[in-house]
Amino acid sequence: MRASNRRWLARKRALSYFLSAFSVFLLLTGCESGSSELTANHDASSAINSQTDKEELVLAVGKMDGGQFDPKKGWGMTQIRLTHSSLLTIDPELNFIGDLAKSYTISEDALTWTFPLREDAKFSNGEQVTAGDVKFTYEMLKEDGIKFDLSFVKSIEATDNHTVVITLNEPRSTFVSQLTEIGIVPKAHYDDHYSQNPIGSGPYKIVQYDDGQQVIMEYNPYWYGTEPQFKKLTFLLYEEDAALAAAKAGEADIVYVPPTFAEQQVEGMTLRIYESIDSRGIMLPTQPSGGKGLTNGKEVEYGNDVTSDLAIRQSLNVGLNRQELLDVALNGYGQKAYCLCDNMPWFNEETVTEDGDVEAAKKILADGGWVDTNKDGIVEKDGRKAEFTLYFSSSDQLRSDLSLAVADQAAEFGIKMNTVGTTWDDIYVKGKTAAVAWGGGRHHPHQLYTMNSSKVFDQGINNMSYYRNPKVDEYLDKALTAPTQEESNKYWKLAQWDGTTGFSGIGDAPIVWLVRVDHLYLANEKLDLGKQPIHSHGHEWALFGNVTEWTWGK
Amino acid sequence: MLSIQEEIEVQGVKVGGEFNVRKKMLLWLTISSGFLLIILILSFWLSNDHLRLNATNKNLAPSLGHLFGTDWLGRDMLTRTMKGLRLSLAVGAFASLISVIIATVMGICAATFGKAVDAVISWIIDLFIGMPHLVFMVLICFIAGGGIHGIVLSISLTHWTALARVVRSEVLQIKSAEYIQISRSYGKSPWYIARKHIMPAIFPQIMIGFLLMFPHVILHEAALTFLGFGLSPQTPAIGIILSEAMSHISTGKWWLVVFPGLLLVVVVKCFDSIGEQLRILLEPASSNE
Amino acid sequence: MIVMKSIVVRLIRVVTLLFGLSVLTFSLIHLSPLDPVNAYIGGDSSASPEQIEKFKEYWGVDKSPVEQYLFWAGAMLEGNFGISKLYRSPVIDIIQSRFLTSLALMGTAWILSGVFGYLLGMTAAMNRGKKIDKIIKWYSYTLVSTPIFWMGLILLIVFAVWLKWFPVGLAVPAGMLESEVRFIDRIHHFVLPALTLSILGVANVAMHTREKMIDILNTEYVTFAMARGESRWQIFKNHGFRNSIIPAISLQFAYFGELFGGSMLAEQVFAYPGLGSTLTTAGLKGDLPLMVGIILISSLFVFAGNLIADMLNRIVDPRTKGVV
Repeated sequence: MRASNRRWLARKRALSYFLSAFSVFLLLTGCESGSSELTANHDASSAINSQTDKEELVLAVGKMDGGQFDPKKGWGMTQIRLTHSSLLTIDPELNFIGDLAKSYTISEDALTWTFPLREDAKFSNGEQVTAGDVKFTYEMLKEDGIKFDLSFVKSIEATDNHTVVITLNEPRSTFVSQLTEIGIVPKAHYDDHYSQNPIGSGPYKIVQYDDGQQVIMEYNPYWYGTEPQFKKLTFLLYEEDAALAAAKAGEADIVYVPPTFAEQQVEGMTLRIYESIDSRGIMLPTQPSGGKGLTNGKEVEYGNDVTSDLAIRQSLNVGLNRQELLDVALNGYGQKAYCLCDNMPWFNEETVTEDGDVEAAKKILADGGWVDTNKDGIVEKDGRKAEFTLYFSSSDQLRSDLSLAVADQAAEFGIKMNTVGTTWDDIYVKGKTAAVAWGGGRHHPHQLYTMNSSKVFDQGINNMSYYRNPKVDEYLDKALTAPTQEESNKYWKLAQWDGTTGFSGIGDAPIVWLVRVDHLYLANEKLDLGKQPIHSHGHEWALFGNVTEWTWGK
Repeated sequence: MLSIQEEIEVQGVKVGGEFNVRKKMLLWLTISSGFLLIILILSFWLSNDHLRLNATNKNLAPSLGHLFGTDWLGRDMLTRTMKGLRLSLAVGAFASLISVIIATVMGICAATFGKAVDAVISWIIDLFIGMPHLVFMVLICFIAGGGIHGIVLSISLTHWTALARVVRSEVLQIKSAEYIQISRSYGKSPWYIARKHIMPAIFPQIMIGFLLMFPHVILHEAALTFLGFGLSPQTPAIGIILSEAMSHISTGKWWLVVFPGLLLVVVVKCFDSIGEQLRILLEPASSNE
Repeated sequence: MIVMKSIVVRLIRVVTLLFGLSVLTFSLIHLSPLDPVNAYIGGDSSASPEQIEKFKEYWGVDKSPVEQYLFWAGAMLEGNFGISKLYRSPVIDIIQSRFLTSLALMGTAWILSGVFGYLLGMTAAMNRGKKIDKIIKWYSYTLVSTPIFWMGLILLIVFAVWLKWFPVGLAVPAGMLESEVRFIDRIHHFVLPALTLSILGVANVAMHTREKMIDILNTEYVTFAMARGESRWQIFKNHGFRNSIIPAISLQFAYFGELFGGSMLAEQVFAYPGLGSTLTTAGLKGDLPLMVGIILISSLFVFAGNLIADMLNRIVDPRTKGVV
């Protein structure tokens, strides 16, 4: 029925294209009045903004359709999704609170998690959300294992219709964050084509998805939470430039703007700046060259003879001027970063250092044996120049600009970085032998483990720098298996810096963290976006955590 | 093709006597080459320091200090454009050269090694012509793993077909010439004949083919890099400069688009005109074909 | 019938070329460093090696190239182009939906550039040596040197950013349900890309038509007609049109390859969701099945265009032998 419907649409579309081809031809051969009429129509359609009792929003915040509404494809990995609800959620103060689950209890040994579900939760088709659906979702994702790693989960049981019990093989302090990320899907309606007909229990449901163009969502009347003021959300999947144009044309109420566009004045819109934990840094291989390992299951070489020297990595941490990087690459819209988790409860403040100190950087290099003997501006050690490649994703303007700025600054203290932009595929193959403009930052500390533990070598894209420090490993393990948040936070901090060693910039610096990116949006001046928590990685979704609280002023 | 007179009119030079025509053509040739030379010299002379990132000089409209303005990282656009054009010229030269070599080998083989080889080669030529060029270039760019060599390879492998046909027909014509027949009757090997008789005879054709290929090659290089294939972003290459400019269009930074593109057009036109003028100067007869 | 025989021979040739093309395409992509596994899993996963092995097995990445090719070629003959890794839906569906969008764009550009090119060429030839002739020639020669994407960007700056007559991108207005999109909206989004593509296509036809027409004007029968006192319009009607239109049409058919390349660039500039921009995305992201699908479909088109051009030439000038 759907298929035939689509085919009918396609045919209708075909016809209209041929007609449009024909009439453009007429238009161009001297039908002047036609074009002015077009402009008039155009203006009329954008007049929606002047409505007072506004229930619809048009948003252009980037390509937010990654994962295509299916958790198995990665939908929800940045925690916020409007179409699904999860067992737990995060409040603006970053506390984990119940969502589909009314509350949760953890056993003494931290192995058994019990979730009593709320009884009024329904999917957008009106069917009850049951413990069976939760069990199905978790088992399906555990089995798949690609987007969510649930290998530490022993079993998921639905003890009755409204109670779920999850048993773990070992304590896992970061499990709580996955509980907020995994959106529950209905067992009865989930199949390989779920993306085309996604049914969830979130505040909104998908009405239309034009691949690559737009997503239209409408309020889900069965939603159990606060009824949002805005009943229809249209997401335009625009590139940043087109999004700005849409804002200028009055076609959008909220658009994401990169720092380079922040100074753009758009009538009726104001710039909203939100601090984020979305961090950027430079990943540096810690092993000498010649090793062989795996990235995403593919055999790759690892190691770099220059960056494996601690003096090189530490000199970058001290010598790079974070404020100047912010000014050049981010137009000043960002914060300095030192640890991927700055200002989070598990952040170790001792890792903050004075930076931009070229002399100190030179001294670290000289002490490590790196001196510019042949006066070519690049330091050498044992006849090897301090020169290496810095890869960045070519589709990411910000990382591209940041990489250039980093290379520009590093040249001042004698380190030459050759910046090369390429695809992520290529970076995953070559990235373990060279520096990479890396990024991350979540509302939970699990990435500290995946980026720095030697236990995750060769898994996916974890620990790209092949960093191994037994002391750090020990702290990370303790943090991961700690039964309480407080205790785990203690070990997360020690892993960053325990006074003598750690993975932060003042320690071994496998990744030199540099900046946190402010998320910038141009939003209609009448729109109240409520109290926003600190944003996590991914500007496409970070804004929407509290969408049900948004209001339109008169 | 057009007659000599047509060609001259195309270049906007008035028709005069035979001698005058030659002189005007030489003048035109000098202007075009001179312009290209200036670009080359500028590209070496302008310092890389102008490409350093600068938080205070961002997004400046064209002025005396920055003739082409600056971009969103404060880099001087004149310097970037000149360096980009230099890259285009270098890529153009390499790719045309390889392309010409392929075309010559293919053309000579088709004409000398009998019907079967001829059929196979003409099949290959059909195959290469049948594929939309840009698509094919994108593909080859991949196998070479991107980079400048990827671009050079992809362009060279797609531009040889037309010249190969010209070479083939030229060789076929020469082969039937009397002196070749004589040489053959003396028992000279086909290789000897190819080297001693055919190559020198078709050399002018090849030279002109080389020059006329240049503009196409440069345009395709720009198109490839514009789509994001081959070179790393931020490299000064005209295609990249223009694709970067694309994301700044709605903020009204017209100078990022207008000047680099305009200069590219002029450079391509220069090469086109050099190629055409030389073609006419070297062998006036062929201009009537 | 000699013509029939020649048509059959040509068709067989096209079939062999298509086979060669598919093998060539497949082996080229197989040699490339693209990694479909990475492309599928994406940038933010913690998949273990075992899980990835399983995934590879499922997608047949572990099979030998020949097996992969045979599997794929067999499926393709049944009309199954495989599943796009990027969009996670059948390639044929994606191609179908993009194809119509592109066809409208290329079709319009094809007709417009053909008609205008022919008219310009004709005007130039009929007014040979006059100012208008020179302008047309200069225009055509400059256009040949102009990158299509730059032309698109300039049009964008002038008509979308400064004058605000047309939207900056996409094929339909933002935030509208498919059923609500009006015909006029589609045109509104369609004009700039189509115009860009048409403007540059003009040069080729114009210059060739001009030459052809000048040749015709130099023939004895036209000289005779002029001597008889026929007006310029009569000469065009009785001799020029008849002899020049078929070569012009044939040239337009042979222009398919360039047209497709041009549409890739124009679609990129205007974020127009057609085949060209999809191919660019597929290429940059390493979506193998989608790439191959689009390449074959577009090549089929170019081959068809060349075939038609070839036939037309044969009809006009039966003496032509071999490839043109």
